[in-house]
Amino acid sequence: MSTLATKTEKKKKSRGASTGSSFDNLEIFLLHLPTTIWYLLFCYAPMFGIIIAFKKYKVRPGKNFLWNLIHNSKWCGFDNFEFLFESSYFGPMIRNTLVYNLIFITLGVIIPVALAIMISHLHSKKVAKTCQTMMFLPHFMSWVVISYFVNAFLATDRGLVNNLFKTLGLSDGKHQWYQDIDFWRWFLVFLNVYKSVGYNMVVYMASIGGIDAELYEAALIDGSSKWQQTRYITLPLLRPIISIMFILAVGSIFRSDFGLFYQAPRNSGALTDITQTIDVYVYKALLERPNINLSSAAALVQSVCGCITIILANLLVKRIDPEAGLF
Amino acid sequence: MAAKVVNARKIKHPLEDRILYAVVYTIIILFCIVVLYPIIFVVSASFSSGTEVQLGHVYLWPVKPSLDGYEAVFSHKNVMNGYRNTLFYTLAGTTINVIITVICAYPLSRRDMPMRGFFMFLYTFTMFFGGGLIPTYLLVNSIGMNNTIWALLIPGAMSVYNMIITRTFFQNSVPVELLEASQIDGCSDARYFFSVLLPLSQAVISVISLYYAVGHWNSYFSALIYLRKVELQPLQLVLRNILLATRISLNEFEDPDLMDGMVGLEFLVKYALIVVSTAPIMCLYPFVQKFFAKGVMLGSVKG
Repeated sequence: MSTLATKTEKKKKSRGASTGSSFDNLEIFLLHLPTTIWYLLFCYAPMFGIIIAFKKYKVRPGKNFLWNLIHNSKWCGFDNFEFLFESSYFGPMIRNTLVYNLIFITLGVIIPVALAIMISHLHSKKVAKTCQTMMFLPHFMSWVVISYFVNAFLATDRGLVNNLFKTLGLSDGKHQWYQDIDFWRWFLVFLNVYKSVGYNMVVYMASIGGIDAELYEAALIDGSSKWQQTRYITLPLLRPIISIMFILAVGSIFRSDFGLFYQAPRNSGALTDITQTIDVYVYKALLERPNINLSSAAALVQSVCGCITIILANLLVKRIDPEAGLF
Repeated sequence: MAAKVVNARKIKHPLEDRILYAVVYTIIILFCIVVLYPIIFVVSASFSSGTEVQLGHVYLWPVKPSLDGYEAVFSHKNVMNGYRNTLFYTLAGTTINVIITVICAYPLSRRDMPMRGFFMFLYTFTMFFGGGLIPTYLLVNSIGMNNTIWALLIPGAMSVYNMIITRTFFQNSVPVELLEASQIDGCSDARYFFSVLLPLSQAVISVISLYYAVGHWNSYFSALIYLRKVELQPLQLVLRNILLATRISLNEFEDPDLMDGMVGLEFLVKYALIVVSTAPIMCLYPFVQKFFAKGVMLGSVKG
């Protein structure tokens, strides 16, 4: 009996003493190794690829990427960037990315928060649940499927909207929606809200569900209206989660949803002026009209700016509310 | 007495609140209509007869119900092939994703993991900064994965976001005492991982599996970049090509004569395709949605 006790004690002691030593934890270290290798290969190796942006990349057939990059391509400093900044599509590309993202971020906070609060006010829990379920639905459809929906409505030939207009006698039913830049300017915003509102709402719904019901009871006894309860209880308590969602969104202000800007408008040439964002440009410059130098430069600009914005946004939010920072 | 009750109700809902409720219900009903109408329309149109669809008579309910559209879709060569591919990519991809995520998250959840902070930084850094599309494309190209199934399975094998959700779950929801107890009982790390940790983590594993599975089912971008061979393409890419083509060629069907002369074939095929491609997700939907909501909350725990 006593030997058993000392044995356990010894074991405990040896474990206690060895905490932090890497040999004892070899197993978990090994377990972690495959991911690390995969990670270094597929996430960090491409980072060295950003030097393409500073070189004049040339391909000699039959040679691999590294050989081409190191031996076959000359350094050219910031030439690629200069060329990119001076090109006529750089301005619109940045403008589209930033302006649309600003609109999306603003609406991506206001609409989901408003809807979440509204749904939480509904009398019947069952109705509230059904509403939430329905609004979540578009999140599960890919952009390809959404673009089919859009096409069903907007097709020039037999699209639902043109049909309806013709039946009602509002137009001749031949309107070319995919060429209509003024319409798409706003329709892109609508599509973004349509697809993302349900998903963004979930977080707020859950936070509202977590608010102590006693606060509302106390407010009710004091004779406050629903609007006052929302204004003075719900909104202030949602502030931390709103700011976290805000930084996450601002951090990706230089990115854009490829599906929304390329897939949904079916890459319509007439809409390029508003649909060309950085991502769309990089894709086109890789596969449609190959220009690896310029697209690498654009991608690097995007990455660096994105990284800076997320750090700044985090600092800003921390200053307003020290608890709410992301890191 | 009764009057008093009515009065009490009136006090509960002052005028201001009633106006608010009217506004709230209107907005919510409008939103629901906007979300539901396209879906109802497409389903109805897909079950209608081609003539009626082409004439534009379908607005809400199917007109002259028929299954022509579905017949056409199921005899389309690329669609069925794409379907099989998507099933394969979803199953294989999700399996790889979940394994890699779990074996990455578990060591990071252990406080005694050597260089834990360093690894954590290594992973989170890529959430904010990355090489971008072109170097990744060139890399995949140069290791010979281009135009193979691996291009869809390996380069995106782990999402850091899901890994952090999993790690946070391991750390917060599985008590550390369990590890100590099993270590005292002489249980190896591997045994603890398989017999204690994984069974207790079913919730988070189902959440991330669904995240990955829905992602694979809906993804078309990597296929768009890497896959040129039609026989490897997933359903979403096949759909995209059909949508972009102005006309559907009869040669794409197994039995061209059958489809020849079918009125409104292109419309029917498009509507039926939407239903066929989204049906599996929609069947799983109620269940998926519950887990998604759960996952969002798991992910919002800072760590």
